[in-house]
Amino acid sequence: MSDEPVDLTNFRELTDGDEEMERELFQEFISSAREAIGTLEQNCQDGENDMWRGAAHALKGTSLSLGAESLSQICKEGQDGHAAKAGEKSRILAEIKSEYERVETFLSPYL
Amino acid sequence: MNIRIVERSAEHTLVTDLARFRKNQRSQNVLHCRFSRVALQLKAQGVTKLLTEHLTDMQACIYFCADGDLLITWPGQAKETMDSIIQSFTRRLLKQFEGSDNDDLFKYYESRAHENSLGEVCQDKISSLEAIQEKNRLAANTQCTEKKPIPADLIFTQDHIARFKEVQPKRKMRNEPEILIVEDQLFTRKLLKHAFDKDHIVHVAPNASEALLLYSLFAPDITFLDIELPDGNGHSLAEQFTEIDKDAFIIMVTSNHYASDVNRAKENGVRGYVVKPFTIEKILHSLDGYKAFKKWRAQNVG
Repeated sequence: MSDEPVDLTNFRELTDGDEEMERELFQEFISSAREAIGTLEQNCQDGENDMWRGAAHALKGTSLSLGAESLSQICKEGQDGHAAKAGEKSRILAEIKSEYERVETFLSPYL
Repeated sequence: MNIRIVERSAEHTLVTDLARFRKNQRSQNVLHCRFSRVALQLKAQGVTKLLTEHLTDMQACIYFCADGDLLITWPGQAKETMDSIIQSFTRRLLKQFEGSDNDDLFKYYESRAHENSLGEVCQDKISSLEAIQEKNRLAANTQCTEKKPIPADLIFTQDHIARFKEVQPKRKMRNEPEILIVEDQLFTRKLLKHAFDKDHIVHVAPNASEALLLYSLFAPDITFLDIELPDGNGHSLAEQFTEIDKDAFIIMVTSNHYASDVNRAKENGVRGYVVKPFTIEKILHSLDGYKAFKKWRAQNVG
């Protein structure tokens, strides 16, 4: 796997080189990702949690569509671990935030 | 002439445009027409022609909403000019629809441009559209964890079915398939729509209730259907679509890959299953699958 947090190959095929559309989508991704992470932060509790699972699932999906595979895999772990204890969720959340920061840094020149 | 016509996802575009007008403090006139579904389906193109004849001198935008409402916005103009245009347009429109079976044929409201804000007209509609957008935005961030059945108020009604049956015959006249994308995440929805937009008419729905409405209004040829939706379940939607529409071509879309989802999709008669991320290859494969299905149906069913 490449070291880059995002592989835009598929994404660019779908946008067909439309830079304005790409910029708009990158901004949308960042906006929705921040919201999802906010929801994860608010729901980092023991036991089954629909909000946690939903946010992890949402971020997983958009990360996949963008090409941020590592982020999507960590989100999948979060989604599958929606019933885990708070400590485990905190660990996953920290990884999500760390990887997300890499993704946002990667996207920032394109905004 | 500079008239913009918005037929796809008109409500969403309208609310976005209105927010921009407010932010930029541009004064706008708004004309709100409400048609019966019959009138809209029969006369949509005629209405556009009428409007373009009357609005040749201004930068207008015409929104054809999915619920049959027609909204026209244009920059602030001299009151007298707009009054005469609206009166003339109204007379011609009523004459065109004369005799149609419609008790509530035509209502219109007129706003007067205010210097820094929109008029009071259509505030109910605008408020309801903004409320729907906000609700969808919140729902997208609080997705259900389990596959919920669709509530009773989110199933095809007789009205939906009647609308669908009126539109269904139009499929034969289409040169390219019309596509419906049902996806709650705005990012993925926009990306997919953009991928198809160049060559196809694309309708988008962020949730199950809008999916039901758009399916009945437009009888799409291909439907990309997300499994997890904020107000329902993609499997239940697929079941309904295939029940009323023997030509339904549904492709389930998900970022999960559970055998239970695949099995249930097969039971519902869906034609394809795509695991995200979308790629050009997967899209082309879907379109090829549709063409093959259409050919098979033509040869075996007629």
